[in-house]
Amino acid sequence: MATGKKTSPKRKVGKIPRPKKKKSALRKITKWHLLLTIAALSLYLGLGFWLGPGALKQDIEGKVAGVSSTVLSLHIAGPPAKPVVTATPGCDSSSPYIQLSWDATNDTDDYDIDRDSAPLITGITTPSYKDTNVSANTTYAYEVTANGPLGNTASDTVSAATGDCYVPLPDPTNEIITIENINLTTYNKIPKIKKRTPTFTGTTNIAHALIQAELYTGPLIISSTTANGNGYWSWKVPQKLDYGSHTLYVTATDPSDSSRYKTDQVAFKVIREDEEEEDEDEEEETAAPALVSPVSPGPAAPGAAPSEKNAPFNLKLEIENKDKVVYVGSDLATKLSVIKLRDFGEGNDLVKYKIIDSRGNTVLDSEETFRLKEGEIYRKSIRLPVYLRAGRYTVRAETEKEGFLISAEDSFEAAEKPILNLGGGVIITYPQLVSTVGYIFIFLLLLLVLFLLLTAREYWLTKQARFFVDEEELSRDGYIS
Amino acid sequence: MMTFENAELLINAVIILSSLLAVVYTLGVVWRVEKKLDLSYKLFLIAILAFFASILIEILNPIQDSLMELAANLMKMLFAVFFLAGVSTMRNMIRRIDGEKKDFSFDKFRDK
Repeated sequence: MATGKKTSPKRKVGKIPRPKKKKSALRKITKWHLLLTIAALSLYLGLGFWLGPGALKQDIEGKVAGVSSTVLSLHIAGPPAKPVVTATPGCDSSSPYIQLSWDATNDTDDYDIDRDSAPLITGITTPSYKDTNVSANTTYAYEVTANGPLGNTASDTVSAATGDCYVPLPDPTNEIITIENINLTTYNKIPKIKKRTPTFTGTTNIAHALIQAELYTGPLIISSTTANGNGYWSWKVPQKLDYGSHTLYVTATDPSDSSRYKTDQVAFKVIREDEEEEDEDEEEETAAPALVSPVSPGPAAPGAAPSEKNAPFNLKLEIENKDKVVYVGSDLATKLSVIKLRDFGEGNDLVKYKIIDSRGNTVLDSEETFRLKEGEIYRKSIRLPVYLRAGRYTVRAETEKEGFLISAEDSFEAAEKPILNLGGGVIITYPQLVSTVGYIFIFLLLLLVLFLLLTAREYWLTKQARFFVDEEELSRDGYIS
Repeated sequence: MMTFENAELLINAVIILSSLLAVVYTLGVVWRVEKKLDLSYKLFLIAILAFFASILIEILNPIQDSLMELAANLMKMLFAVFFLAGVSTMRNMIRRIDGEKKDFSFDKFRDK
């Protein structure tokens, strides 16, 4: 600081020129260092903009990704070839659609199609698909994944925009597509499965439809879930089924118009491990359509007169976190409501909450007692443990009432907590930070060295100063009049 | 072709580097000046440091935690207050030099 220097001799700036001194080596080095840093940074940024959109982001993400995971090199022979997909928009009786087609790839069992990074349909065996669940004047991005016994290969993302051929809402459709990877659209027998908690998938043309699944053949189950924006839904039976024949009813209802709904049903058989061989002949003979007439009362249609044989109510579970993304270590906020189907006696109901990973394993459970009745909202927060891996999870709430297992589920994305947001979509999570700590340390060290060099230069210049400037000095020398 | 994402990243980089340079240069000026000029530059330095801190807090708050957002806004407020104080000090100094405002020590100096 300048204190204590007030008695230093003062000279007027401009009247007595400073003697010209030779620039010292340190000064030259500092100058060139600064110039080179600026030039390198400008070159890097210039290249980034010249190379195209996202080049800088990709480069930085690439640098991060390059060291963010340990790479294990494992050669797998014979994965499917990459499907080359074409997406062609069109109109069918004023209804828009997008036709996807690609050449069949070798070593492929079936194909999954993702639209806008979410599943659209899974397990199709033909190398084409007509997406009719589209809106007019909208661009969609598709990715086809070929699944083979030795791996999966995803295509490049292709985009297509629908034309202006929108008509009023079409009749609702709902179709059960698979049961435990058996494609029901091409399988013309009664499917037999050994797994007692099978998974069903299907598709509806109602985006975000409320899906209600019902089983009346032991145990009695009524369950609800939600279709995604593409109308795709997936539901896993929450309780082990009895061996024997069952019929599943699935109703997709428009969340904004309960009069728009569609029910589909499928008959299937749960068999014991050793039962398959015995039934082989019978199966050959059957060769009947998978859809059979219900032997059970069947579901109560929305708005229909309630039946004593049907479930008393259904549950609806919603995740309230923004975009259904929950950071590990944070609270998952759930909202449970009751959809009354017929009169029932109120009482204390034990509601079990389960968080289930993509493999069907329960990773966390919790219980809460509510007095369930229609019109009430039951909120519960569940803290996700920090050890939970990032990925897709399902939260399920289930209770038992009058012999029915009543459940509802919704899915969410568990994400690693981001630590840094550098802007431009470059977000660094804690694991990335830990794995790239070396790079970050070097970068910060360089920044610190630059800062210290510049500060040292300023201090050195101060030391070289012949006197300290104040307002009087400036005024006297004519800088302030 | 420049995109908005690139632009945001570039803007953040320029803000951080400019702020660091501003801190260094202001520090250099503070070391070399006296009296009111020194005070005003000290205030500018605190303002720049507060601004730099607000940027750092924003970078360290990708999940938009409300407490962190409050801290960032607090830093922005400190920046505004100290910048205003610096400008005000400089303004008063100029008014005094101009004789618009009384300053006995300086008047004495001018009489010489």
